[in-house]
Amino acid sequence: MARWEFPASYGQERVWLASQLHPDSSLYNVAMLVPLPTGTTTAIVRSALSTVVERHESMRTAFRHGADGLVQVVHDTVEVELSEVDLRESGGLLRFCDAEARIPFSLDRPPLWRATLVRVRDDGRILVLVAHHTICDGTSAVVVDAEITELCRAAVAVRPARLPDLGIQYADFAVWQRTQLTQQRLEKHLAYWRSRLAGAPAVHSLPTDRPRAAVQDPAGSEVRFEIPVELSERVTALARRLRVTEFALLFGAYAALLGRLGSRTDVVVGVPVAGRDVTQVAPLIGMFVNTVPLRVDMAGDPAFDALAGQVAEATLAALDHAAVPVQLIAADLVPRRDPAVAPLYQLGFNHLPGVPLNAAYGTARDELTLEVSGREGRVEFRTALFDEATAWAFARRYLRVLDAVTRQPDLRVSRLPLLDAEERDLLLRRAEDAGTAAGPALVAELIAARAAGAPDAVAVETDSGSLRYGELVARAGALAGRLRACGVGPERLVAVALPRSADLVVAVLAVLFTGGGYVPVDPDAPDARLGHMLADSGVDAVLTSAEHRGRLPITGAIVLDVDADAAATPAVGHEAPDPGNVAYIIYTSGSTGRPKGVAIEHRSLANYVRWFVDAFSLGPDDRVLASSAPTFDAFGIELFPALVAGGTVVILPDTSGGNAPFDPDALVRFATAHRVTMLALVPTVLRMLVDSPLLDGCTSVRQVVCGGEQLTGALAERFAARLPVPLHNVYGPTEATIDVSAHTVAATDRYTGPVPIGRPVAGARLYVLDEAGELAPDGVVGHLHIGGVPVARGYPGHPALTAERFVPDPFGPPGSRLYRTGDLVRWTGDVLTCVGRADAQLKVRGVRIEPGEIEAALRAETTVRDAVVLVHEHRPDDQRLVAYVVPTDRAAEFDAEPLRTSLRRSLPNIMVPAAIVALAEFPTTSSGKLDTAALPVPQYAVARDSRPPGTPAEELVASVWKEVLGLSRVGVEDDFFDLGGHSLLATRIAVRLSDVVRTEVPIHLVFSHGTVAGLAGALEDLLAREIDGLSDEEAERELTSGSEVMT
Amino acid sequence: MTELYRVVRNDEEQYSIWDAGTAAPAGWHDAGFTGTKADCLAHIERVWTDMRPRSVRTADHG
Repeated sequence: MARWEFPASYGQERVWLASQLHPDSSLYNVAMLVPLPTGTTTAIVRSALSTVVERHESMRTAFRHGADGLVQVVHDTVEVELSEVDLRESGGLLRFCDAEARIPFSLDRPPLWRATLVRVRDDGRILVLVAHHTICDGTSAVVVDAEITELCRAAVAVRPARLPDLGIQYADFAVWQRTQLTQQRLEKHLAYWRSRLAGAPAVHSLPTDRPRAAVQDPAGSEVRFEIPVELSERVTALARRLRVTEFALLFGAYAALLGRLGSRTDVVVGVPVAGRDVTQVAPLIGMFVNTVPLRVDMAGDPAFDALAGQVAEATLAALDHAAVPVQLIAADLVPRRDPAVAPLYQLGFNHLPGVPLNAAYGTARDELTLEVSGREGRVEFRTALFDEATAWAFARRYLRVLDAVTRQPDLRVSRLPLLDAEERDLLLRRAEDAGTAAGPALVAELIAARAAGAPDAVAVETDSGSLRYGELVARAGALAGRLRACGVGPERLVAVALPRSADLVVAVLAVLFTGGGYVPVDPDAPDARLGHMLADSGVDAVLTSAEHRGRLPITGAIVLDVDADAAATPAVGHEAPDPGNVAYIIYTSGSTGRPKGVAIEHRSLANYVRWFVDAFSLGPDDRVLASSAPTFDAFGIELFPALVAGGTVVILPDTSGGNAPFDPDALVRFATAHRVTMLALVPTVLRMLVDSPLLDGCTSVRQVVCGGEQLTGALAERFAARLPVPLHNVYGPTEATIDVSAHTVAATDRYTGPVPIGRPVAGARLYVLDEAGELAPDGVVGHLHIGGVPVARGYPGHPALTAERFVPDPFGPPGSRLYRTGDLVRWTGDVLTCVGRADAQLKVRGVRIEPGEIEAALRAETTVRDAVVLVHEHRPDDQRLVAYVVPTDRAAEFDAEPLRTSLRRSLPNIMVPAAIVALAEFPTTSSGKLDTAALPVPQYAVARDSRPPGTPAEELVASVWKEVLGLSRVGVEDDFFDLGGHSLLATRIAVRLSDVVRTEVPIHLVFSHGTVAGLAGALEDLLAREIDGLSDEEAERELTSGSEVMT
Repeated sequence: MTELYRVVRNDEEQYSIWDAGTAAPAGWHDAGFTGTKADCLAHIERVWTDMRPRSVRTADHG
């Protein structure tokens, strides 16, 4: 038997290779059903089939992978087998075809097709032909159908068959294709695709029902739908009117829908092209199809008719460059492959006028594909990623979009309607939880009631004593009297400049008793900042203590010492303010350079506290640890709920001076000693606690509240392993009264990504809106807007900013407002998950930072011309602020140190960048935006000329520092914090050292000794004490073996 | 093409902005200024001098 070998075509190569990745799959099988003319006998069909096989070499082709690439082997003859099946009794033609189509082929043995003659009726038979895509494509199926039908008809009518002459064979085309696609032509086409696809998203953002696995799973399914006659007619009419093809309209609507659902304006879709431009190949059976990655860029929110025109043009250009096999485009543009995702595009579209739709046979070539043929439509999808319900919803939305654009062609993409009335109702109902926020009583009144009921219960506990409810209320009342005498009352403000202490609690309660609002300020903040906050808020009085009063800048406000002479003044009963009066002002980072105050009203605070007590079942036996800075609104969680519930606020001593490193061991020890029942923390602190060996000893803790930054499923899991108590993930901006949503993670819950932020608190309404302000469909990412009683009054003194962020509420009572958070979120089922920010705002270790504020401070320096501040993830879980500056004198040697010292004078420590990098100019992308990817990786404070490590202890410590800080050089006199270190890393150093020397190295040792030399000395002392009785030599040997472990 | 906005105000005399081409939600009335977003916000910066809600103002002496 003779055979001839030719190089495979690019198309064959692509499909062959793809088939190798899923060898036992039917992913690339093509099934054809050819109804046979009346009177066709088995002999006639066998003869017709033989003729087709003889005419088309593809039907006699298999493949061999040789040293020089893929080879197609054309056989002189192949066995023409035709099985027969009778389905008259059983029925189930489609089931039979499906089963046939799922049987895989071995691509090295011809024929790469199978035929079965199926009798469906007494007078009706169908030829079912399944072929592999390497030898057969969509148009080939049409050819097969045409030739078999004509051959059978001719035989029945006893006349010659009229078949087209085949001037060439497929192999000729394959050879020709290779010679045609010269290096020069290829380069020209690739240049087009490079330019066309530059900056296009590598992966689509259509929400999937499940995350992708590490490797692609082609298992698939489909849903079929019908386009109503009337809609179909409108589509045809509109295409004619706009002078575009129906393809452009149908595809344009698809792209617009993908953009909206993916919350993006740039989409890339794979569209097959027939690839039969050369006329001689038209009548051939063979693999000619190529796919082009069609990009649709909808930036600028075009009207649909303009979009259709844009698509039509882009398609024509793409067709001009469709001779390039798509795998070559992929090789050029996506050299490094992620096995989880197909390169260039993962979504498909196919318009098959006059040709029947394809079928899935249990597989899907792309993640999601829309096919339209006449009035029939089909959504094919990968079942690992999408549920059938999602595919149906997609199909329904597509029809809704088609309907809208054919009625109103100038509709902008952002305004295309995606929801029906039922979906809208569901989303509105989901936005809030039934059950209103409590009654009218405000916080001060509730606390006073607790004191009246149980005056001897302990309200506040510190390391130096405790304060009972009766005393607390008496002292606060006296202080309130003094404040009233100064004119303080509802709508008046009082600054509280005290560290975390019992005095602070008295001060805050005193202000609330007057009906006024309190403004917490950090007594250790830089002068300029303090002065700004006091002046900006316009406080009438400042509550402080003798110790701190000297630090306060002089303003017009009256300054009172909390600890002064309380007994002399009679206590005053509290005067309830109007619930709409201001309760507190908290300052947050401002993007234009100065911090701005957020004013929260009494009703909002009361609502939150009452919800909190109820949601977490707080009672008189609860003891809540207060460990946050009083200037964070989260401090409200630690202060008020406990007092409103009649429990105890346990105050962690404020040793900081504001800026000293955080000691997690000390917190755990304190919490354990004071039998704390609830902890409220940011995830960064939670992570440190989870690393502390003391955590499991803290058995009094019944629940933990965690908020302020994203909580990962991984951290929640690690926490559950240490302390299996409920962990409540809470979320909310300062502008919505501490928190507006909560999600409880049980010890057995697992989340692969972030833990959801959950469901709205009582009184809050949460809406996920798209760019046009309309409700985003379920699962689609949108901007979170908050309505209801938690919404702040605004930013006092900043009317324009207030008006911009607090917008009219179209879903709430008349005149109500929504706060635009700038957070990107999505509903997954009934709970919300936060996926990112819409702006530049950063969260570093739980603190909200506007890079603009730091940038403004830098630009204010005479040595800096321009600045940009970003977060750099130096190592996993090690996020650092980095500033890039363009110095005014670009010729001079740039020194970052004076800049950092200067920044420390005006900014809190956490906002001082860990590194400042000087550039001649900022790199920009072709669109003029800052090219963040081109910014150089920062070097953290290069070791000055401090000597290298000398002793084994210094070597060991230096190695650990290098490992943890990610540095290649560390000198023994270098300061830990100057090298970019912070509390979390200090904890890691202690843990790592402990591992290596097999002795617990307490974290405070690392904090107290900020240099390698200092820490090494302390470590030697520690080991000498621990290894009691060991000689100095033996101790040194321990250290040497330790440092060997490190290398 | 820059979008046009309208300055609106509710019964508590709080200001905000809304798309000029659509009706503002219930309870929000035209405050007599239309323009770009920046112009509307600048206008609000000038006219919204007392940021306390009206109901709180009338109860208070200030």
